[in-house]
Amino acid sequence: MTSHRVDGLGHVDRTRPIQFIFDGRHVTAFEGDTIASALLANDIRVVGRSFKYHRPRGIWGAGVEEPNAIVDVEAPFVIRNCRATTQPAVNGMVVRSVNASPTAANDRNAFVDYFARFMPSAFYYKTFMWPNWHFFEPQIRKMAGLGVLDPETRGPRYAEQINERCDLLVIGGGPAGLFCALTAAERGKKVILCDEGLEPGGSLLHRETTINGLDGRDWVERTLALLKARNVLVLPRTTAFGLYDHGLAALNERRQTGGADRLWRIRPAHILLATGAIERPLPFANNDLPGVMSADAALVYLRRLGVAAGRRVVVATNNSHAIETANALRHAGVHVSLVDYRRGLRVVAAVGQKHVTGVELSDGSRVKADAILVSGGLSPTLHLFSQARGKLRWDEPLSAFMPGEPVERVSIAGAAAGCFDLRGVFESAASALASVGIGDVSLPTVDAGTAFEIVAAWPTPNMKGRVWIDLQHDVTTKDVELAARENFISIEHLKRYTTLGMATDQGKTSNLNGLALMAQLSDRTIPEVGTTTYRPPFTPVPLSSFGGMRGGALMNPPRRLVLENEHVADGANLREYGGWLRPAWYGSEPEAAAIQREARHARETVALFDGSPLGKIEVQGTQAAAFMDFVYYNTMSNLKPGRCRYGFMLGESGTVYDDGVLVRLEENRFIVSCSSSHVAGIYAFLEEWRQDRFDRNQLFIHNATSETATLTVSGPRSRVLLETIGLGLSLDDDALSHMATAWGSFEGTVVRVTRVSFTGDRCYEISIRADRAVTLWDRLKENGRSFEAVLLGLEALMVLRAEKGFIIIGKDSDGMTRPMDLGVSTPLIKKQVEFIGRRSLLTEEAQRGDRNQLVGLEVVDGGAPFATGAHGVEPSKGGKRSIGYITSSYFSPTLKRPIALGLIERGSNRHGETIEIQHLGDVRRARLGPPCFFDAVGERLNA
Amino acid sequence: MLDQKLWRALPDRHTMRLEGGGLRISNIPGLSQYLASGQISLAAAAAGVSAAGAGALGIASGNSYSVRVARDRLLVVSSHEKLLTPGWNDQGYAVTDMSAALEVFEFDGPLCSEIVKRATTLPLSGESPCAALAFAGISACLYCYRSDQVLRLHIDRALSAYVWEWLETMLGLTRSDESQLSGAAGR
Repeated sequence: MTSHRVDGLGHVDRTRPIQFIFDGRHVTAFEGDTIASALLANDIRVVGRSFKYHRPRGIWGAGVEEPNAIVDVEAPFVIRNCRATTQPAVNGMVVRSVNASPTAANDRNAFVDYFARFMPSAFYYKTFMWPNWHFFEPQIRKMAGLGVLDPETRGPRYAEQINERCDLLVIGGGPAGLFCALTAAERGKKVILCDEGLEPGGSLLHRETTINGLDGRDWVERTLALLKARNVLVLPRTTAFGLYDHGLAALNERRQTGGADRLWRIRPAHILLATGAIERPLPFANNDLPGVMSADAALVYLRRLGVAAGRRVVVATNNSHAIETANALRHAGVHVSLVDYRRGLRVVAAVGQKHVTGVELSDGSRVKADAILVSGGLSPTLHLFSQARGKLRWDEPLSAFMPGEPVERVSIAGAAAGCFDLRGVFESAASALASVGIGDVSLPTVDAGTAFEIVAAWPTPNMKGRVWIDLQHDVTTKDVELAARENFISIEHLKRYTTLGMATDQGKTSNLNGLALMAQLSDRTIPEVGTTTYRPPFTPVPLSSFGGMRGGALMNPPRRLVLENEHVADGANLREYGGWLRPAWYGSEPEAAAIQREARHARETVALFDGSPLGKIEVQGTQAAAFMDFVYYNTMSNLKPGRCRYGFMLGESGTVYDDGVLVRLEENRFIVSCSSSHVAGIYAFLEEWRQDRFDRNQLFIHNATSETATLTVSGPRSRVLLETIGLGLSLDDDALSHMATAWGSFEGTVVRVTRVSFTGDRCYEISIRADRAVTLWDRLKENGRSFEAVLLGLEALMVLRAEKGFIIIGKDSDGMTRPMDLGVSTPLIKKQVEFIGRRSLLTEEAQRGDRNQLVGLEVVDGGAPFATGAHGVEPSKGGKRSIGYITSSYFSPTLKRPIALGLIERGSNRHGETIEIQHLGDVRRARLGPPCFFDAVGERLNA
Repeated sequence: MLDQKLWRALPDRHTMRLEGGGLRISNIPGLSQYLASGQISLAAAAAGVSAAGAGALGIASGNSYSVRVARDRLLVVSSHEKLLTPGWNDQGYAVTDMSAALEVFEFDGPLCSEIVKRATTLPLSGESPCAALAFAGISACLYCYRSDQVLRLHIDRALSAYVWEWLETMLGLTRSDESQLSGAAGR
């Protein structure tokens, strides 16, 4: 098929060819290929451009450790910054390289590399200081980095998040993980196994071995079948990216077909890390050229995917692990030159411009090659162990960090535990199982294999040429040397100074080489230098995974009125108010006109308003009255059953937290009718104080807000309308006076009718079981036609209450407003019992004479209503100073002029004064007065 | 009109039915529900239900039963009205009628535990003493009814449209070709 496809090897489906486009080029592949294997098979060497210098970069690895082959998938689904090594190729797929323009092969920004010597680490911050960094930042960011976030891209809106529990979570599906999972399952444990590869098996999928007489891949398949038979949840393509407090493991499952990834939150009793090891690069000049690849990855491509990394390759290794790669390629017909550091020969430089054409060796000779397959040793993958607070210890013979002291509920097995031969892998697995309480494990029989051997091959100071340490972040040995010269010798400082080991890569291939060089530069040992902190996520996780199903309409959902559909049918325009979706106004006419119409109409005839969100928090018990006295600023215990009283609740600082009407239904039963938007807060507030100082056996609080719909009938014709409904109770003012409540019934359903008013007009609130409210609402509307009833939206209600000077807490008050600032001082003077906030009201600050106080403001220039938020100003030494601000402002259709409420300094003593109001540079004049503009004596309450 | 467009019309409470992935989801209108706090053993005796009450994933049964929602709080559920009288009882318990305040959903099917895994962090192994929990991010109580393959969920009625849409969305996700739910059996 192509020059790099090897017949007879790999597990791609050669009967199902596919095609896709990479950087505008047609790529042929087979089902089962990854994007990376397909590019390799098609001899596409340059797959990306480097982060900083726009150097050509090729494929390095075969899994999540890949630092170079980051691509954008644009069709048939969109994935940004996707690793080509972990994404299966799909027929018709469109793939683009990142950080390259127009293509990776021909990047117009490649010239940057010619200036590399002038652009070492921290170059930006040292150079672009004048006029300031931010002047240059946008262009630099445009030229550097990986993929570009496209705000137009619409990924999947929702993603699944699943919570699971198990006895044992095995992370890693290689030989150790599979063996541990099966053994634990056979002992009756509930086991979950996750593996980040496209299929479980780990090294057994590409390394020749025999386990219990079976070929490695056959043993994997048999083990998977046994796991399935034992109902073990096996999650391929799933990366455990973080271990968090209390043993929570977070897993991200990649979806193959473009669906949203799936997030797993697993709370296992025990975690077994079988996360394997990552092969390190070897340091030599130009070791970033396309064609320089991990030897183990080359073996993966050959045996799993049937692709040879090259036709004439050099295998360079400082350890025994890569020998199998050399042998396998040779067997596949590839010309292989082995450079074994253990025998003294080393690679000095890779030769080539855009890709490898040869190798320069330490003996001065040159070897022609189209690929250099390198192995600088194996670093156990201990990111998760470190996240679990595990400490690492340096192992000199293996030239790697190993897990240190055991961590509670976490065990390690296999290559992650530093066991690189199969026999050792299974022995370490048995030890790990023993730590979970699973002993007497029968180990599988394996072929002898070879013991792991390694010689040091660390980067050294003053290496010739450009020797790359971190491929993803363009960090070279010279950058590390510069950091050392500038005394950034702490490994954490080195990381920040050079970006070594940062971002999506998290130093998977680079960390150890970087700190080994720093150790030499600072005359320390490698363990003395230590490692940087490993933080989750181990690999990038899409934000959609974290978002789950919190998005769109499911994000912070508002509460819905039981009558919402009826309101919509009546032309309601719904808006969100304090967590409820409510009618703002009705009808299709312009908003302002509709609001004026509704408010005017409500004063003239009768208005129907859905006040269901009003709080209905029941307080019951023998201590209920005392409790009400304590939580309210006003005295409430002397309220008679069947009566209501308006009051404030204060916070401990004495500021007004909420206002509302308290209803005393019975001697030991109250209903706190708090503000609609404060129900949850007030419920928690009441419960907190109940538990603080009252007898918990004599006082109980139930939030019954949703139990009843509250249908409000307001206006001069409200009573006559209600009399046509038949509520089974007398509406005479003697029987049901203002601030009284009484029980009645509507078509067999109990209703409670309460005389309270937020409009200033005669008003009745009818509370009825929410699921039976529709019939009553329909009846009110139907009968209301005879009385020219109007449906009242919340915006018109705001106008009506402002005419009366009734406040909205949080709108006409702020975090500094005390009840005295709102004109309510008597309780502080006369109330005999303790109440929340009392002591704060007695402080010098609370008693200050120049506090902002609630006032009404009239427009004196004949203009439009003031802007809400406009400031009252007066001259001061520096120019002008604020003396408060306007909190509510409307045009009153009743008074036919603008009205406003505000918090103005010493406002209550300044009635009649004219002040300046400033807003966005305009200065107007307002006259201060009492907050109530309409029916100051309250005659309309009984009109 | 931005706000209004985001929200779908409230579902019709008389036709709320969802099916998929081996699950049937519906609402159960008409149940009487009373919140009783304080001397719950006396309240339970007055209502003729268990004082312990079903906890999370515990099994309730019968036409009248109780669900434990706090240390000193029971939700009494019944197909009859007037099981308890709302208000303060001198024996030391408070009762509030919550029949219309809480919407009740029922999940029926062998895979209803998959909903639990997606909506809660509840362990599936064994009953918890208290049925109150967060379901899809909101306060709720959840228990089994008659068998461990039938779950009942009580949630604030004002948020029932949200929960319904959440359930529809969840079922839509799990119907995809890589569904964990549809493939859960046999794993």
